[in-house]
Amino acid sequence: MSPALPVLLVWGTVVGVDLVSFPQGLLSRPLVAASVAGAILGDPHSGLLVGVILELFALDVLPIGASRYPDYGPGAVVATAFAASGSGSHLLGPAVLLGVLLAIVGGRSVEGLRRLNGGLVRKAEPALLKGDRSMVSHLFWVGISADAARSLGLTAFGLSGVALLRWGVEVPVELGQSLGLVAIAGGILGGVNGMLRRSGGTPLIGFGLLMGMVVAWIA
Amino acid sequence: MDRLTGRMVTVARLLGMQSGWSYERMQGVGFGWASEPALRRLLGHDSERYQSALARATGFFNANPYLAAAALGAELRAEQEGFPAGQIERLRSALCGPLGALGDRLFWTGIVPGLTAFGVVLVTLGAGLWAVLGVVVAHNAFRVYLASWLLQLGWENGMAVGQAIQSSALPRIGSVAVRTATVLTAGATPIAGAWLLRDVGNQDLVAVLGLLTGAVLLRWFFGRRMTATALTLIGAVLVFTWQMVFK
Repeated sequence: MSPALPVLLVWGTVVGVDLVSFPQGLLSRPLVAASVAGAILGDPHSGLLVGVILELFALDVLPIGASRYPDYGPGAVVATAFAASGSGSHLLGPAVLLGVLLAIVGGRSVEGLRRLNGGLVRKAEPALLKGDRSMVSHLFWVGISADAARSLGLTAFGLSGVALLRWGVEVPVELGQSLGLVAIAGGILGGVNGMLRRSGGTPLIGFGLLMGMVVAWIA
Repeated sequence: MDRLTGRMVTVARLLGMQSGWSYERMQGVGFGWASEPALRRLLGHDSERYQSALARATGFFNANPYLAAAALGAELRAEQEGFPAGQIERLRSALCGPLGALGDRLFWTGIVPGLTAFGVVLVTLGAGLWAVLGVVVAHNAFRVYLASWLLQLGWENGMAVGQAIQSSALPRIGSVAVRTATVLTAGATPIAGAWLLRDVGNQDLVAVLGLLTGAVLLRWFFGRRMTATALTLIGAVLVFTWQMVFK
């Protein structure tokens, strides 16, 4: 077992809980989750690559209230572990796709958590109507613990998948590179969707794009 | 105007106000948990008032979590001044919409995408993990300061908190944040695209332009019916099938 594995599991749990329950401090953003995972694994560059692509996907998401949205945090941690598990950049594309799939599964699990909390609240209704302080505290801690269990399970599931893939499947370099281009194109599509979603107006979008192209050309 | 005591405990608890989120009460449980220490301090001498105030605080509530402090401060003031239960409940539900709309604009379409897009640009320019750390620190410093300020604003203005927020700088900051985020997300996309393509061996800026044009065309064709994730997964299946079956 890699010594980094327990730390990755803890980090995956932290970023999963950050998405909704506590503290919503941007730790669950893929750029943050993947970069720190890369640092934990001793491969910060892979973390930054995965983080930047998945962050572009995440720009397409508006995580408002009861809406359904992907949970990119644990997915970004797992994707970084996959990308860092081999030499060469041909694992980047498959890693990002794995991260995207896990983010979708994570989003579904958040809905399950909401239903679980709902069941607990219904049972606790009489105590809540009486203003029972211990019940409020109990529901809060159960909610956060259930979210931690969800995030830990999601990260463990994803990392097991990575171990299985690395043990049983050799990703052909050509396929990996093609999937890498698909992932980058998908990220750019996410960025474009996110850019058009902002209601700042067409001139500002044009100005931003122009500045972006100039910086990309200079850099 | 007097200051609300124990503000930092309430602000710290507000960080977890979405724990226990359910379709039934939405943020109600977290709101109640965050307001409990302050309610105990204000009304603890009268257990009946304290318990009915806590019961109201755990009722249905749904607003932007970063701005909920204003509602909490106002509710604490109303409870302390002994307003009738129905009036406090009306205040609470009346604040959900405006705080949700303003907060979503300020944070979800402004600060969060703007900051992360800025982080992406800094990473591609070589700032590495420092850029990521800077984004996290900047976001959290601002939101904790804002929560503390909003809590006090709500406490000072009580039932008139909606008006106080409208006449504050927040709506203007929201508009500026959205415009800034628009420029930053638009700028970050080609910069990140070029950086990523360079990493997989493609130095050509024309490729970035091609991908951007393709993305705009796909968006124009599909509208919001297909997300980037769905189209990417379809693309990956097609590439996989082509490579494994036809090559």
